[in-house]
Amino acid sequence: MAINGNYVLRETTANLTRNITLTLASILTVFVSLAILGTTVLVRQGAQNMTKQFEGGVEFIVYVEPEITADQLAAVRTELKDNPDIARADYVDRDATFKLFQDLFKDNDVILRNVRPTDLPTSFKVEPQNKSAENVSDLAKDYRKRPNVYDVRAATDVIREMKGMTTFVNSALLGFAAFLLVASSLLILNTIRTAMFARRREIEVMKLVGATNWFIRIPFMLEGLVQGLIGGALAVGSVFVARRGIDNLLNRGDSIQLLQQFSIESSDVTLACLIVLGTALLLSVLSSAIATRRFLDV
Amino acid sequence: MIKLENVSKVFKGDVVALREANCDISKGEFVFLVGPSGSGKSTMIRLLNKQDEPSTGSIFVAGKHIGELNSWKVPYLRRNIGCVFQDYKLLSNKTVYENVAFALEVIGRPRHVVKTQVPAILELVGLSKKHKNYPDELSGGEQQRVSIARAFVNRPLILLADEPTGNLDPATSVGIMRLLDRINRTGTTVVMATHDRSIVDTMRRRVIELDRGSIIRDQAHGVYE
Repeated sequence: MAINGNYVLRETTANLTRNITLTLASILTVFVSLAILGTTVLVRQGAQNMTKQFEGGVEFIVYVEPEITADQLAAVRTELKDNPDIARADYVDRDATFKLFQDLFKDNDVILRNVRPTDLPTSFKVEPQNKSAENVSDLAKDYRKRPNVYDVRAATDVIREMKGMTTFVNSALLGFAAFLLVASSLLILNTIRTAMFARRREIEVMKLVGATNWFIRIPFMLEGLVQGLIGGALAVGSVFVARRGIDNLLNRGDSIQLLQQFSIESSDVTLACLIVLGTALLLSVLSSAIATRRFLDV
Repeated sequence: MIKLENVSKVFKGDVVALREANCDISKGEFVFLVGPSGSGKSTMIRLLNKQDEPSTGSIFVAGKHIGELNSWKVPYLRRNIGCVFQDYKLLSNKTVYENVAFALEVIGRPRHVVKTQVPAILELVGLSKKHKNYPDELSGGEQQRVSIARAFVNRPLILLADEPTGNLDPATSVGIMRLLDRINRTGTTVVMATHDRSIVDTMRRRVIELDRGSIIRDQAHGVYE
């Protein structure tokens, strides 16, 4: 059936403005909860970028000389395999290394253009038997002195701590955001319910003269959707602000050089924005659907 | 047009509102439902436009078994059934014109239909001059005329009226009855619940009498008692 666009627009606006305080409360709660969610995603992505190389138990990386011969490489490999202190050592070949490099520097054209695959040292990702900081550091020191080894980089204590801390902070923030998201759903639900209660006589007449449920429902659902999307849009803005804030914090000086690896890329921001908007959409559609279903029985 | 087969309605706590009711109302008939308060008149009316479901039995409206109607089809059933109530159920924030137009707008009628139908129906009920007034600026009789206009503007096959003169004085009631009679003459089936003795006795139409949920009399050209 034809639904008059004018009618829907008029009704939705009337619903939103009639109860402006409740509407604002819903929008703000949606905004705050989604802003926290978005920032959490950013921090998580940043931490992941930082610790990307040290995933799955890998504690240090042995880089071999770029000009290493096949025989020399085999010797290093055998040595790592035969070492009883080492559980696993995976070779990262030239192609994989270059790919990782492209990935890490995808925002920096100058570096990308000037580095060829052969310039990069290939490496072994090493998982030791004993993962205590002391043991890892000793092993790393040992391998640094061996022939044909270009450098060894270990997951330092800072990275370990960062990893633990970001996991904790992330869980806490996510839990917090989850509570707020529930609160915002309930607020949207309540706002729509209030709007429907205020118009119960109109709804009753509409039902009696044969308006379809969808016709009655759509303005109210749109009301919820508008609240969710405005809150979501504000939250997207806050994601950009958060990114800038994190960047400024990390680039303040050389003192936190290690944290430089904690980088947030454009793709991370896009991901965070998509998650924020998706959640806003889901949240508002669900609450609106539930509200209009439950309170439409006349 | 309307057919009830062994229809019963039992509310919670074994309150029997309607007991094994059977009746058959043809197109164009004018039927009074009479009986004391609580005899089941309103229940019967509420069952006809599916505001309530019968506990047992079948109801046919315009040839359709409405108990088997999908819930999404109920609005289309109701477009064929106009409703008038004792308390008018007008929207106080809308003018007379808007109240009537609302009934057409919400079932998706195009604007040009609204623009021609609403003035025509207001002319019919004699309220053309008051189309800009709000309901609380009208007398009870005038408000009921607006409510009849709203019920009839979509030209339904059936008009249900639940005590339409319940709040009105005798003289005003006569005016309302004339209007309902006129609507009936256009071929619309009218079912009206009332306990206004003089109206029933004057009109001399079919009378279905209810007592404690049972139909105890069904008489053509009947009187109240």
